[in-house]
Amino acid sequence: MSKEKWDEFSIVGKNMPRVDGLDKALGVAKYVSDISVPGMLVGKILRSPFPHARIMNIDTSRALNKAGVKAVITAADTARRKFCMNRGWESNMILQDSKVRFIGDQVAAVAAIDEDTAMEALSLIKAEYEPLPAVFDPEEAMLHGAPEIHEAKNNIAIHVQRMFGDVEKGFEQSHLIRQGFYYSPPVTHCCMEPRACFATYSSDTLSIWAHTQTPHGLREELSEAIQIPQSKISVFQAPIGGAFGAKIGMDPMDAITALLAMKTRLPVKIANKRDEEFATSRFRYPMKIWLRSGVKKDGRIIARDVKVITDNGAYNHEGHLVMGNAGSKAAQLYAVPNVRYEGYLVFTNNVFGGAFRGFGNPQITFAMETQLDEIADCLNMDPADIRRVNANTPNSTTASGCKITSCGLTECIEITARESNWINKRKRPKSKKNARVGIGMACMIHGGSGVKFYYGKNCNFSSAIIKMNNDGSVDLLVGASELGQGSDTTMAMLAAERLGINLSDIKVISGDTDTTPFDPGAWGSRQTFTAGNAVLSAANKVRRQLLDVASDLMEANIEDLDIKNGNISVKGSPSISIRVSDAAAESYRNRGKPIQAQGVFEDVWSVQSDPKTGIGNVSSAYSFGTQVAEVEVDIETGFVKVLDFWCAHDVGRAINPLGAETQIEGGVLSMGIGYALMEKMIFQSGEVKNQSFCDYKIPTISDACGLKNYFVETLDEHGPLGAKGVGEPAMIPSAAAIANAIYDAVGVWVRELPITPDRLLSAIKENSIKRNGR
Amino acid sequence: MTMVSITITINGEIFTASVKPNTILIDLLRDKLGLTGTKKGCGTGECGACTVILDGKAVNSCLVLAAEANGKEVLTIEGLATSGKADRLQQAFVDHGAIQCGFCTTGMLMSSKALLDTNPAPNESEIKSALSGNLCRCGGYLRIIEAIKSQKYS
Amino acid sequence: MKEFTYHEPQTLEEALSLTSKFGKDAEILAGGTDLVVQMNRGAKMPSHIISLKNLSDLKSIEHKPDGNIWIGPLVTHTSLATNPIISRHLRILSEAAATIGTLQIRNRGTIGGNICTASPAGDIIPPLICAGTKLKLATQSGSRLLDIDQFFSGPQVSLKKSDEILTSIHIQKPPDFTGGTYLKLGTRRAAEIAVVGVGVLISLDESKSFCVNAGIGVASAGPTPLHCEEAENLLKGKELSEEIIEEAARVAQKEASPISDLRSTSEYRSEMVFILTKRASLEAFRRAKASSQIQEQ
Repeated sequence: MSKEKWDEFSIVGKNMPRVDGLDKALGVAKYVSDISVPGMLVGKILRSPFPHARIMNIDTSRALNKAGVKAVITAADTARRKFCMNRGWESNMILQDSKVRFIGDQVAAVAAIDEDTAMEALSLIKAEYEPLPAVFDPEEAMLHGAPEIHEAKNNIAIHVQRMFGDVEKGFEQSHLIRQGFYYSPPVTHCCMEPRACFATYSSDTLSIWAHTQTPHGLREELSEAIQIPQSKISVFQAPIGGAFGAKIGMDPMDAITALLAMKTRLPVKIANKRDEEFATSRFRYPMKIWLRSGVKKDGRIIARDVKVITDNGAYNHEGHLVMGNAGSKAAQLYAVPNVRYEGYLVFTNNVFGGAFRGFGNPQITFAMETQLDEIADCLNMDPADIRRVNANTPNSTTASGCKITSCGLTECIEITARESNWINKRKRPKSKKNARVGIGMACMIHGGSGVKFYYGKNCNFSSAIIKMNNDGSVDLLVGASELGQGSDTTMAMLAAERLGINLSDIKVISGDTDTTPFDPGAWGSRQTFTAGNAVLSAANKVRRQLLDVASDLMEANIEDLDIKNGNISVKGSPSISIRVSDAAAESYRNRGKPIQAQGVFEDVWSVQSDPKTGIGNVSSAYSFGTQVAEVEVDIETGFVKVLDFWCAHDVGRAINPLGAETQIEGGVLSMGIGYALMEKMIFQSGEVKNQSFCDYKIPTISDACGLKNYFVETLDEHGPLGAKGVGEPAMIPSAAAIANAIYDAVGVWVRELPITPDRLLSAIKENSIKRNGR
Repeated sequence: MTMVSITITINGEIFTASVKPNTILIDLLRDKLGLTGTKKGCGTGECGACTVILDGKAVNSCLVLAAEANGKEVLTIEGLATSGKADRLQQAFVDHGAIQCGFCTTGMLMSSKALLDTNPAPNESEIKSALSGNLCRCGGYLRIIEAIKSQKYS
Repeated sequence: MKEFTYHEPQTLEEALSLTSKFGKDAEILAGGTDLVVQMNRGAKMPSHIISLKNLSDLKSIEHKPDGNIWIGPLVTHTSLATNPIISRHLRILSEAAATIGTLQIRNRGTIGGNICTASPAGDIIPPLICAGTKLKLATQSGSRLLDIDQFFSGPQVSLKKSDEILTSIHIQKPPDFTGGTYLKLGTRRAAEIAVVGVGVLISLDESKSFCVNAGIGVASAGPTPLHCEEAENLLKGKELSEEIIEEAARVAQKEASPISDLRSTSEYRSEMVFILTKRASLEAFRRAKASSQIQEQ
C-alpha cells in the first residue's frame, strides 16, 4: 500500500481521457458486429418456440440442400456435453439434444452466404417437438407435481441454509423487529450492441472475436466444448458495446460460431437482432425476498433473517453464486452479528439468469436499505442517524468472517448528508400543489477486489508484462479486459506513474489470449485491484532494471535516483540525469539485457467461503458507498421525477477520477434509475413480451438528473496505490435511495420494483384509505 | 425484383448505385460502403445508435429505405473528421469523458451535430429534447451534455 | 424485408393511378417510421410501395383566407412542432407533435402517416379531433371529405380505402379566445408511446367567462382515438369553474374504455383520463382567458 500524498503523483489521481476514446468518437473502432471479411458466412440460430418440450426429431436436409447454405449443425455435431462455467453445475448444452427448456433455447444453427439465405435456411429446418407441461414461477415449480425440468427434486437447483451467530437470540434481544416481503423483477443488461461473435478456423487453430469479459475463461470453456487444446484457440476482444456481467463465461453463440467456422473452414459471424437479444439474454436473477430485522433501541441491527427464492430460469449459470452473494451481503452490510440466511434457487422454464452489475447485491440492498428506513421511522430516528449507528468500521470483521480493511462508510454518510442539505430537506414541507418532494439515503458494501468464485478454489490472480522498448516507450500487456469501462487507461496510468514515463509513451495490449498473460476476467469490480497490483508489480521490476543500468551509467547509488517525465535523475540534483530511453537502449544494445518483466498479483488475503457454514473472508478489500436521491412525486399520476443525486463512494484511491466518476454517473443515471422506476422483463408463459426498447424502458437523457459525486479515499492497504473497485457499487444502492425518497415524499412503501406510476398511485390511494378512511 | 437507381451524396461525395428496393440506408452505409461507424442497435428506430444527418436533419438510418434517400445528402460519423483529425465536437466528447463502451457515441455525435448546426448555443432542455432518441447504457448522459455545452463559443 | 416493387410517382395523379391499380397489394410510404418497422417485422408484406416523396404539393401548411388551416399529409411532426402558423393558431397541435417519439422519428414521421396508421396512441390525433378536422381523401375519380372522428374503426384500422390517398387535412378556423393543450403520460420522461394522452380545446365568449365550444380528444384509452363528446357537452354553454371541469373530466373517464397491456393497466389509464382531462381543461381555460382577439392561444 502507498500512503503517498497526492502531489507526489504526476499521473495517478488526474483526470485522463480514455486511451480508446478517439477511435470510438471517429467511428473507426471496429466492434464485433462491424467485422466483415471477404467470404464471410452469416450464421443464424434456430430456437425453440416452446418453453418445455422433448425434441423428437430435427430434419436439416432441406436446409442443407438450399443453395448458399454451407453448414447446418445440431447436437449431433457437438460433443453433447453439458457445460457451465461453474464446475459442478453443468446443465446447459451448446445445442440441445433431448429437451428444450425455455422459449429461445437453441437447437440448431446454419451458416450461409448472406443473412436472407440463412433466415430461409432456418425456416427449412424441420424441428419436431413434443410439448411438455411448463412452469414459470419458482414457488409453483417447487410444489409437488410440478413439471420436472432437470433431474432436480422439486426443481430446486440448490437449497442453502446458513447461520452466523444466533439469530433467535438476536431477535430476543431486539427492541424492535420489522419484517417485509420484497420483490426484484427480471431485468436485463440492454447492452447497446446486441451480442455477436466472429470466428475463423485455419491451420487447426480457432480464432474467435467474442463478446466476452473473460477471454481466458472463454478459451478454456471453448476448449472443452469443441475438444481442442486451449493452445489452439485464440480469443480476441474487439471493442464491445456493453457488458455489465452479461458477457461472463461462454455463451452458446460462441461455441456455435466456432463449430460453424470449423465445419466450413470459412469465417462465420453470428449477431443477435435486438428482439432476439431481449428474448434470450440472461436476466438479473429475480428474487422474492422475505426479510426480518431486529434492532436495539439505538437502532443498531443485531439480527437479520433472510429467505430468498430465486428464479434460476432454465439452466444453471451464476444463480448459486448470485444468491449466495445476496445472502452474504445480509451479514456484511453493517456487520450484523446474527444472521440467518435461507435460499432456494429454483429452475423454471423462463430464460436463465446471469451476472448483472451487483450480482445479487442490488436486490438484497433494496430490501435491507428500505427496511432500515422503515425501522428508522418506527424509532423516530433520522435515516442518516440510523446509518451512522450501524456503519461498518475499518479493520473490523463481520460475523461471516469478512475482514474489512479500509472503510470510509461513515465519511460517505457524512458527505452525502452535508452536500444534499439533508437535515433541512427532511424537515421541509413536502407539498407543492400536486407534487410532493422527498429525499432518501441508502448505503452499500461490495467486494472491491474480486472474489474466488470462478475457475477453481484460488483463482483471483492477475498478471501483466511490461516490455520497455529501446526508445523508452512501453508495451504493457495485461490480462485485464477493456470493456469500455476504462481498464486500459487505468493500467496505463499506474504503469506510467511507477515507471516515471509519460502516459502517451505506453501502448496497452489487452483482450488477446495469444499475447497477454493470464487473468480470469473483468467481473466483481476486480480489475483495478487485481490487474492494477499486477501492473505495479511488473513496473517495480522494470523500474529496478532501469535503475540498475542508470546507476552504473551515472555512477550513482540506486537509492539516490528518481524517475520522472522520462528522466532518471539524482534526487536533489535534477541536472544530473539521463533519459529513460538512454538506459533502456544501453541495456538492450550493449548489455544484452532487454528491459522487460512480468508481474503477478496473487490474492493471499481472500478465500472461498466455507461451503457448509458460508464463513470466510471473501474479498481482500471491500468498497463502500452512500447515495442520496431527491425525488418529486406527482400524487395524482404517481409519476416520479428524480431531481438530484449525491453519491459518495469509498474507492480506496481514484486512480483515474474521471473514469471512476463516469462509472458512478452511468451506474445511477443509465441503470439505477431504470431499475428503480421503469425496468422489467414482462414474461407471459415463458415468453418475453417486451422485446424492444419501446416496451422495455431504460432511462433516456431526459430522465437524467444532476449528480454530484464525491470520492472518499481510504487508501486500502492491499489495493494498488490504495485503490478498490467501483464498477458495481455505482448502482447498488440507487434503487433503495429512490424508494426511501419516495417514502419521505408521500409516506408509502412500494416493496416491489419497478416503482412505476400505476404501482405507486395504487399504493398512495391504499395508504390514503387506510389513513383517512376514504 | 426491379432494381432502383439511386444517387446519394454521402459525406460530400456522390455515390451512385443500383440497389434492391428493400435496401435500408443503414445497410447500404455499413455493408455496401463499409462505413461501419453508424451502428445498428435495434433496427426499429428506438435506440438512436444508427443516427445520421439526412438533408440537415437527424434521422434513424434503420428506418429509411435507401431509395428514399435518393437525391439527398447524408452525413455520417465518417464525415465529421477532416483527414483523420477529430472535429471539435468529437474531441470534446473524448475530453469530457463522454465515451465508455462507445457504441452509442457515433449516434450521439450525429444528433449533437444536427442540433448545433441549427442551434449553436443550446440550453440543457434543448439538448435533452434533441438527444432523447439516443440511448446510452454506460455513461449516464451528463458528460455528453457538458461536451455539447462546451461547443457554445465555436 | 420481403422484396417489393418501388414506385416514386412525380405527381399526385400518377400516385392515384398507382393506388387504383394496385389497391391492397400496395402500401403508401410517407416517412416510413411505422411502415418500415412493420415490413421488417413481416407484419406488412406489400408487393408494391408507392413513395410520396416527390409530391411537394403535399408538404405545405396553408393558412387560408377564411382562417382555416390546411396541412399537407407529408408535413413532418418536427414541422408541426415548429411551424409558426401552427404554433400561433393551433398550439395544441404543435405541443402534441413535439411529444411524439424522438426527434429522429419526428424528423421523418408525418401527420398523414400518423393519421393513416390509425393507432389509438397517435398523439396528434386528439388535437385534430378537438379542432374539428376534416380529412380529404382522393382517388383517381374524385375526393371526399371525412370528419376525423369518423375515420377510425379499430386499433390500426381506418376507413381509408385501398385506392385512396389522404391529400389534405383541413382544420377549422379556431375561434377567438381559444386555448388548448395536450398532456401526455408515460413511464419515463421522453421517447414514449402515450400511456394516456389528452388534448383539450376551450373557446370562450367575448366576456371570457362562458365556454362556447369545447373539444376533448383522448389517446390510448380505447380501440380508437377518442372524442369525448359527452364531456364536451358538459362544458359548452357553461360558466367554467374547477368543479364543472372536474365533472366533465369524470364524464370523459366514463366515455373511455382503456385496456391493460404491456404499457399499463386499464384501471390506471381510466384514472389518468380523468386526471389529464381535468388538468388539460384547466390549462386550456387559463390559456383561453389569457388570449386576445387576434387568434392567439
